[in-house]
Amino acid sequence: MSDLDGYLEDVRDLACAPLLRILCEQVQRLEPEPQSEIGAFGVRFRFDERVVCELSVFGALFIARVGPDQAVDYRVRDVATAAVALDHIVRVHAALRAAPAAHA
Amino acid sequence: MDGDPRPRSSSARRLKDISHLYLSQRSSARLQSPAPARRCLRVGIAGDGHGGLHSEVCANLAVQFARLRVRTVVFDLDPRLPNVGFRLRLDPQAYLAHVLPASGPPRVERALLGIRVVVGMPPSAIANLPAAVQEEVDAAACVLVCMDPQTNRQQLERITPPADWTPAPTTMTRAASSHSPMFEAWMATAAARRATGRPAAPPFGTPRLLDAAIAVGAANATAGDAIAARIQPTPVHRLVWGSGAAHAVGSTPWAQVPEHESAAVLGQPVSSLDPEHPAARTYENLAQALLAGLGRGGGGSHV
Repeated sequence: MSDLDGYLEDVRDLACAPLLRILCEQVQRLEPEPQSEIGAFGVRFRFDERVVCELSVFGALFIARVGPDQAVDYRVRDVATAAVALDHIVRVHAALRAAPAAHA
Repeated sequence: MDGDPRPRSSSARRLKDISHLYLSQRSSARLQSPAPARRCLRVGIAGDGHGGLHSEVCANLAVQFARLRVRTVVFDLDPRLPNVGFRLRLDPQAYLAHVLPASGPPRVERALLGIRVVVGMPPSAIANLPAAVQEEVDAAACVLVCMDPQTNRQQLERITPPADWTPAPTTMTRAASSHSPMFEAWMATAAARRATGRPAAPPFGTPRLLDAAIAVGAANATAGDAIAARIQPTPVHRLVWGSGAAHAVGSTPWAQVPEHESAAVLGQPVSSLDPEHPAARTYENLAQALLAGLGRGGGGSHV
């Protein structure tokens, strides 16, 4: 079981867990696959050393902070907001993929 | 004013006067074949699993068919994002319908340029298409199927029932029945060309699920062969993307698309955003070639 699966298993009793699982599964299936990272913040997905999104659980909802600067956040408690957040995540991932990071 | 001093001969032979030399002796009225039944172009697009290039190609071809005023329905059997609906600017809840809970049965949504996209269709739903979706498929002039790596013949059979593939008699088939020396020469030339690596046509009269399949990004011929094995006898054309063309091995690819930005970055397919882009022109030519392969011109149906 991966760290991400373990995390999703830990929060499975929360009201937002089904939507959180869907989001994580879809982000994991993006190509090239972002790297997941578990911490006190929740789950963070990185691509090419840049943050795609960060998902933090708060009981009935979770907050999705999207973009390398995590400048946009969505309070996800329903399907409609989850769809908009996932749409944004996919666009950010595509943009990061199109513009490779300048490694020193 | 009479620039040509030569007298016009009333006995000059015209083409219709000499056509009996290589065609049958039947009168021109009898040569008229009955109008062929309306047919739907069915194209499958598969990828080699890298970066969703096949859904990008599918979205661009859908745009080109729409620009040619061909009524197009897109089936997206590959659930990975960004999918075709995403690239054709559907609302998030529409193109994510296959993953979001309580999204309802499969339905048809209108995307960019009025293209019809079947959304909310997990593989388990393929067995029973809702009546509304089936009506759209029946009314379509073109069905594009974006296939995932596991798409097989059984799934395609439920979406696109095998057509009774009995082409209307063409000039060539009529000429074949005349046993003329000219036709024999044509056939010899065609056989020589086929021997140089062109994809072999399926046996005449074999029912097939798709009119053509496109293997996208397959830099080597074996990847295309794997797709062909799953959906035979549909002919599979290899399409190489961008710089992949330089690494293509095996037979010459059917098409090479210049590298371009993804619709996920541009916000819509390059074919609709910049129709003069070299890649868009390539997609346009491919759409025309696919229609021509079905024996139809570009100015066909309605959108």
